[in-house]
Amino acid sequence: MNPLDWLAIPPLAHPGLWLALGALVTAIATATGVLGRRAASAPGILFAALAVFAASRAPSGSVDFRVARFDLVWYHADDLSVLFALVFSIVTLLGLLYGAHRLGPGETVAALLYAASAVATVLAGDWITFFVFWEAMAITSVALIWQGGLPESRRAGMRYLLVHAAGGAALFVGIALHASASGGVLDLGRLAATGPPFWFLLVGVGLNAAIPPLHGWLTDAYPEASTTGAVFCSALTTKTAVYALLRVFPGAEILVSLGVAMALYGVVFAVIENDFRRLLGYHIISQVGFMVAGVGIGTELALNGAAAHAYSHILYKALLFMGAGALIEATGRRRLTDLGGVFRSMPVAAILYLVGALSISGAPLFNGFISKSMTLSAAGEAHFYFAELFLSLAAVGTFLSVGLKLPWFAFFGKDRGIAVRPLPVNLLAAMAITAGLCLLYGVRPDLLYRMLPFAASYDPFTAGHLASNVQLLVGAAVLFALGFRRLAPTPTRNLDADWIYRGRPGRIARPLVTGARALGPVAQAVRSGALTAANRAIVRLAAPGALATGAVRRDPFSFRTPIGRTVLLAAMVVGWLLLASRL
Amino acid sequence: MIEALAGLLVALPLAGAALMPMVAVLRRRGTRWLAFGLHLLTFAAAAAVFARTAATGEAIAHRMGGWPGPFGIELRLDGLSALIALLVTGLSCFVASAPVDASRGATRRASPVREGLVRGALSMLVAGLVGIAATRDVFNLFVFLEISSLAVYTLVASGGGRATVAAFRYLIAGTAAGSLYLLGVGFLYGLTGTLNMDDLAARLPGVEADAALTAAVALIAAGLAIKAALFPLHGWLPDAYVFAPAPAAGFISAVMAKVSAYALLRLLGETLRGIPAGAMALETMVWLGTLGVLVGGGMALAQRDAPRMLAWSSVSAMGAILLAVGIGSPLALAGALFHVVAHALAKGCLFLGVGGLAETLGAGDRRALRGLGRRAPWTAAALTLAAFSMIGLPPTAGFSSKLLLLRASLAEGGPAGVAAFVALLASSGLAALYFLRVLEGIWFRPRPEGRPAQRLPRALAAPVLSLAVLVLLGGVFSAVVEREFVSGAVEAVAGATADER
Repeated sequence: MNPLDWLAIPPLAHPGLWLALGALVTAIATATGVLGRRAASAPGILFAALAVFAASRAPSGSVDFRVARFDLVWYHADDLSVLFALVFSIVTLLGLLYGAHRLGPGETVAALLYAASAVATVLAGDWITFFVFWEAMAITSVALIWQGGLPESRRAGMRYLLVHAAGGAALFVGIALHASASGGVLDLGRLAATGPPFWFLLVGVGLNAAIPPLHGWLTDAYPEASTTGAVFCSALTTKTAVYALLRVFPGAEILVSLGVAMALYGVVFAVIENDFRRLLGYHIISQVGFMVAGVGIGTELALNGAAAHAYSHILYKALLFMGAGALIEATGRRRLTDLGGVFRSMPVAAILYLVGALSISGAPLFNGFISKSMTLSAAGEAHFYFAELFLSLAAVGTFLSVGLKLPWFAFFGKDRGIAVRPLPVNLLAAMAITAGLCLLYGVRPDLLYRMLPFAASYDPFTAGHLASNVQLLVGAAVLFALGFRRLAPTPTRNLDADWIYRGRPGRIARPLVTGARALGPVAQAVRSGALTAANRAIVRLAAPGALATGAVRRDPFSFRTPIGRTVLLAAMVVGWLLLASRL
Repeated sequence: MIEALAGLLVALPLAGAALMPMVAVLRRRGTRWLAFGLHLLTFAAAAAVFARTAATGEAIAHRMGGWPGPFGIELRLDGLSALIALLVTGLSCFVASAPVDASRGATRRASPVREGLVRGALSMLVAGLVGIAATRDVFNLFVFLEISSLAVYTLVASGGGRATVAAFRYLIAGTAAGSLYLLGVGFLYGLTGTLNMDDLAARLPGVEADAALTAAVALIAAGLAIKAALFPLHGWLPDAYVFAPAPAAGFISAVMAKVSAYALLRLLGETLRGIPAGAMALETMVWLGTLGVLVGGGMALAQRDAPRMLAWSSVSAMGAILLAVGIGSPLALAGALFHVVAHALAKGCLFLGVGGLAETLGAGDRRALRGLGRRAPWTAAALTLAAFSMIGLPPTAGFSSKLLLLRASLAEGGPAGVAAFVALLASSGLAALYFLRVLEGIWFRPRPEGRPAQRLPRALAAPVLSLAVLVLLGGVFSAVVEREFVSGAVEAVAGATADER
């Protein structure tokens, strides 16, 4: 038997296993000094390549593992889950290659574990396994954000963790309600019933999909991750949520309006944003909106469109974040107002970035086109005309901000004479491969289409699709040429949903918080005082003379329950049982 | 042949209790290994009995003195009793392998008298606890309850100093518990004229449910609830666990209260089921257990002293076990028994490790544990694993038991079930807070200036590590634990209750 065929046996076919093993090997090799800090990502790249290979040959079927009374299905492969597992593995490989020159052991391990959790989440076949890895993903992604290393990344990571803990709690309650409503059936599958389980699960999953107003964590934390960290973040968390929506909520009509709102919302904020990684973060929200709307439309074509768009999106968004990271590495700046005219100094990176920008804008022959137009057509065919119209509008805005505004003000525009550091080869190689994939799928869409979960045939290259797309792009370009002075970025911070803790309410809330903090010791004193007094009273009652000594005052919670009280309480329990069962 | 083993299970440690002081005075050197060998032999007998009950699904009975049926005292080990006996004898081996004063420095050896008394008391405790698990006679159960109590008072008091006071407080509470239980048994005997559990179960339906019967149930429930540390009758527990010397504390904290919980399950869940007062007692137990889960967790969070924190978390765990016993569905019983096993392993590991460290350092303050990860990574890793099990994180045994308990309380439904579900979830959150706080100190903080370096004696480190490995195995192979160990025990109870209906 060919050794590579072993990868088709389920335990070894799980790409998450290889990613986790990569993390383990990296940790051991760097901790024991076998591997220097500079080569920390080498084993990770090797194992990620194995993961890609395993995912590309993963056999469908499921394997379970019995824990207590639950059959935990840790490997459930069908077309949908394998599609996501594959693209997650690919982007992990590319991300590690992209950051190979600067990834330390901590960041490599965090990234690998994060990717492993995401892969394990999409390959989970029941709600419990899904939840465990979903939470693992939240924790490991925070670990990755913390590797950004700045005080702001620590704070943003902490906010991110709190938000995701709340989302996890909603999800858990949803799972519990769902389990009790369905009589203990925990299989992941389409949720037929509405009511409380539906809403709790939707909030839990929707938070990770960054559906407004639950999206604040994304644009808050992703720009504070390291340049490499942002590549992983952009690819994994939101797309895992899209997978969950595809699995659980296909055809839930509320998702159409939510998705359309997301697509527009993200674009509007992106157009006025100055920090270019936050700008890209808003575009994650906008693009995920296309997918959410596709899930909501729920026809086979729309679901295929959502899955295909997730696949394309992961590739081009990774490329865009790689380009943004390259800009930061080369110039040390992260705001559009600080940049300009660096095209000459970094032409390769700029051109590769433009490939990503054209992909996200849906230009024909790039991979965004073949998936985005699928969702738009599905909206039209299913008679969601408003959705089609607004999503087309969002597409215009996307091209305006990512395809025109960002490159214009960063690479072209006014030359500020910025000193540019040369970029390492591995970084450019990773960008080139990603750009190559974007182009490959753009020219040969059948390569992607044949992996899709449903058998809906679709041809993107009809005259109608091409014409409408080109018209949209040209329209956006005209708009930009007419109004680009108005679109010039301003060095301000735009308040979004984070105004709850940053803006005016924050200013009102702050004295309250301070006051509450000041009240803390008072409350503590009152409480321990009352406790002590109660304690003494009972001691006096139950065991005269055995009054507790000074120990009670030093540490109010180290008190001993007077043993007489135990006996008294036992008598009370007997009394209660006598009374209650006689009544 | 195998029936004799059931009697041997009690007789062997009881003989050891008599033998130990003599051997210790006459022959110093061999005492530790003789004691260890004796406990190992008892464990082997328990394992043989367990294997037989698990294989055949039938109980192994031994009639003492050859007296038949309801007249003589019957020792009978079904799946449930055998599981408890296995747990008790197994854990005693870990503790018996350590020198009596393992945590008090290598220079100090226990005197022969002390050595003999402590080892004898441990043997006697095992005899008492196995006896409680095995006996089918309610008065005999009282006798074994007293045997185990006397032994445990001796063990706690052997810590000296404040431990003496703790032991005395425990003695008062325990005596009150024993008296209540005995009163209840007296009432039952007056009503039915029998002490045999099966006979009682058969005759009770014919007895008019009057005040005497209600009083009997209430007294028995309250007496055993004290011994099982059901909130709010847990007052003796923190001090007794904290001040007992480290090797003994590991054993006491692991099994002492749980064997009483077993007695509650046997009597209320089986023998006295179907009596209105019994149902009332079980319902009360669900609510008090729920409260205990919360109060124990909250008090553990408020402690500065690490062993005291562990003791309060035991109050919380006993609440979880007893609330599941109170719910009483097969799923809840599976959860309760799995939790008994998981918690015994993890808490034994933690008390041996943390208690031993606290004693060698002379300070229980949790800050004294800072920097342990760098100095003793294996010990620290073992404690981390046990703490994970206490919180209920995978892949430890505690995860599976918490999962079962949560599912059982949800399946129960109603206000009590929902309250229990919420409390169990909250207790996991609280446990995460107070354990992670300690673990953060162990792994990420340097040893504070001026504090002596922590060192766990090797004789304690070995049981700590092996218990941690068991915690991990119990989690990874939880399906095996569930199938081979727990389900037979649940069937033993559920079968008895099904017959009655």
